[in-house]
Amino acid sequence: MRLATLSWELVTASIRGQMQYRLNFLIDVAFGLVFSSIGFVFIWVVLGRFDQIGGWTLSEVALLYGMRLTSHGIWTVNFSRLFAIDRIVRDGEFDRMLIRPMPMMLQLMYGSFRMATLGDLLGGIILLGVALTQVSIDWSVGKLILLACALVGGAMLDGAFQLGPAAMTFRTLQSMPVRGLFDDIFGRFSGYPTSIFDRSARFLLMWIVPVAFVAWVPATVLLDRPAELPFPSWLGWFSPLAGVTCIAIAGWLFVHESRYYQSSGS
Amino acid sequence: MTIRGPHPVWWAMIRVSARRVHIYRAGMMFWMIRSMLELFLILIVWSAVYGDRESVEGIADDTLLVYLTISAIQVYILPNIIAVEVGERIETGQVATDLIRPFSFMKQMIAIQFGSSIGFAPACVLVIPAAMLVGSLELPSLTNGVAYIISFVLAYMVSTLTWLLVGLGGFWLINIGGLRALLSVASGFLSGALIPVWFMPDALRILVQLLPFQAMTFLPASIFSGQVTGTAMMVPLLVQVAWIAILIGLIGWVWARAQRKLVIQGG
Amino acid sequence: MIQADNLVKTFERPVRIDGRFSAVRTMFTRQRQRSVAVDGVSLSIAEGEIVGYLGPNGAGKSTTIKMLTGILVPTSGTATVAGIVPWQDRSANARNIGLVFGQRSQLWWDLPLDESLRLIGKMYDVEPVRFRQNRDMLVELLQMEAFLATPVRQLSLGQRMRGDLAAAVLYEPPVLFLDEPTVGLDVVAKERMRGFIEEINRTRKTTVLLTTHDLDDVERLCQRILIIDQGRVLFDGPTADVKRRYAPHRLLDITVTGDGAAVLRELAQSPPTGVTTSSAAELTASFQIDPTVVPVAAVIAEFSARAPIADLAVREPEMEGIIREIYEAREITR
Repeated sequence: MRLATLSWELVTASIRGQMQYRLNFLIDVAFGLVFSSIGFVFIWVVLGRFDQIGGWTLSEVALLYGMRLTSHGIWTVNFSRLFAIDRIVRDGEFDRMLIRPMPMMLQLMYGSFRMATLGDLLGGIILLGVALTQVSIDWSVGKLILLACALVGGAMLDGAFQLGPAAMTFRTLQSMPVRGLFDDIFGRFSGYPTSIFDRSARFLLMWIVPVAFVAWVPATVLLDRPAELPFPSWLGWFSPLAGVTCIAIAGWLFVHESRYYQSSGS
Repeated sequence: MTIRGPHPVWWAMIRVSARRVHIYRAGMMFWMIRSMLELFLILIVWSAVYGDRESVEGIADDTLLVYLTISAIQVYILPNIIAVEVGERIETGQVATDLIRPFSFMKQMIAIQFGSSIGFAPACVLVIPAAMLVGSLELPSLTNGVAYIISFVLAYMVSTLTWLLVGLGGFWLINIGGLRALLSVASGFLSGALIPVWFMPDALRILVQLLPFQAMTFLPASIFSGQVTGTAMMVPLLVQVAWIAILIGLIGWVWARAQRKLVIQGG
Repeated sequence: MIQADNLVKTFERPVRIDGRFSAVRTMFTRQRQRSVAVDGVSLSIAEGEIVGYLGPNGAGKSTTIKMLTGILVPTSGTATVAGIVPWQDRSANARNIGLVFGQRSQLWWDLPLDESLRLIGKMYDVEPVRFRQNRDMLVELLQMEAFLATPVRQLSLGQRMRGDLAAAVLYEPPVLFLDEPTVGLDVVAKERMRGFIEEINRTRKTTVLLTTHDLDDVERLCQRILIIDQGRVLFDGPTADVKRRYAPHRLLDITVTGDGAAVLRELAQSPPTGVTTSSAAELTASFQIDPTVVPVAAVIAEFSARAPIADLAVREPEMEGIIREIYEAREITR
């Protein structure tokens, strides 16, 4: 509880610090919103002309995309400081995190806050909200829980492929290119039904870089289309576990590698 | 603007700019991977929406794939560094000293853009086999090929002039980084690289045709892919030429106003 | 309070590979280059001591401090600070230590100073009443009232250092690590800072480890000093001992009246045994006396007898010179 209050204090302190630059503040949020929605505008225009893709209609794809963007927003809002990990380690700013009576991970998550992440989250919530009104789902309590868990699980999955690579910064002082690459892969592919890809790509997107579990797998369960899944449908209900597993591994890796921090900035 | 022969300093500037490119070398590799991932995705999406159909609205599926592939290559090759350069010089105030030099500011900036293109040429050449692997690239017929080369050169000019204009926006916006980033992302869309103009809804098509971005990507790609052939190829070429004229005019007008602003601000 | 036993820290950096794609290849290379920053440092500091930590740049001072504060994990060796092993129990250790870096601030850059102090208070669970008491006391002691509401990034160096110092002792840690706290400050600010450190040490019995290049800091504050070079401790003992061991001589400055010029020249050219001439001008000269060979008083008596002295002064050698000689001696024995 104390840690929660502390985290909140840190975030609000960071926001207050940025409020002084009022215009930049709003621009950051706006940019976050725009950049995250551009990908959807593409498929929106295409489906405006072509009705459906791989059997999925526009509102169903909007559901996918909205789930993905919301998950992404949940992750980035909580870990906005991780983005600067290269600089933090290289300049020795990481020292400061080690001498405070607060877990290193929490400081990494909430030590500073990027306003653009709110734009990400906002874009996701809006798209998801609209999609939910348009799409026809046979709702049940189970499905509501699945949706909530899928949003969090998706965030964890997205995050695992950021936090994991970030661990290498302690040794190589640079992880931005790798993180950028995974950000690209997740951003591009997780908003689409994985079923439209050919077999080898589908395999990659499900089991190597499991973007499919961010939105598509739980969405097929929500939309009652289990036939598309290459495994028994009841497993789809457990898709958030993919995120939990991956983030646990990534977190462990990060903490483990932090031992190699050399504090090179004097 | 007087027209003289190339000043010797010009070549020197191009060379310097070409050499500076190695700083971005690692970034270029990742940029290529991302471009190829994007190409891969849009090819899959378009194949999926086409489904079993071989042609939609007169556009054959393989023509479309070639169109998309060549568009991706073009987007990768056409630089916008001139916007960055101009923006930086305005922001730091260096433009004031640049103006005093016995060498046109415009020519300097264009020289830098050229140099950067030359420097990136090896990376650009690499992207072609990469794109061929990811997508499909059928060589066009001879006439289309020649027309395409002309169109590509025109596209390069349109691109340089457009981004120069964006850079000049720095005189009014101080920090154009945000504007440039926004336009960079939007241009992928508005140039027709993601969605060919043929498939755009009416409102969007009108907007796109009012902007120069489609002259950078869509027009040349439509020639390369063979969708436009024969005498019809004159149309996109003339549109490109028209855009060059419009942009030169706009730049001249903006530049005059900018210089006045500079003088008023006490340079 | 602070105990270190044979601390060793070796850094391994990937060897930079030049040539094409150097960045990527360096990222994946196996080749490593080793450098030993700290090579078996042991020390023991009791509660309430103020100890100076000296050494040339690159000697291993920062690395030692970083191990004692838990930032780095030693390659071998152990240490405890207030009974806790710093790198094993960072959170607990954090509560016991206050840290001030001369070069970098620990405060929140864009927020007013008192906001930073409030956040520190919250982070270290300082009870509200105690927090207010401490903060008010520190504000008064360091005269920060005038700039409490100013964002930290707008503060001058001296003001920011005061803020950092206040933040470091706000939660009353038993141990204080100060890394070049007076660097870049003007004379008045330096004296104020030293006065403050002394006050905190006196009233709270705070143990202080002070890394510095400024020997006035040392003379003023430190009863004991540690000299480190190339990762090894060269000297560990009371400040007075440094002088006694490395520079036991005394300096004698003499000024003679006009008619004593000739005698002075004579004395300068062939001084008595145990005395060497450091410098000589027409009416003034400086001599270095080895008290183990001849007592200073005897030299003064002899000089006074032979020359008409207008003025004389006896000085102890300066720390600056002594330390330099210690470093240089080390150079030769390398």
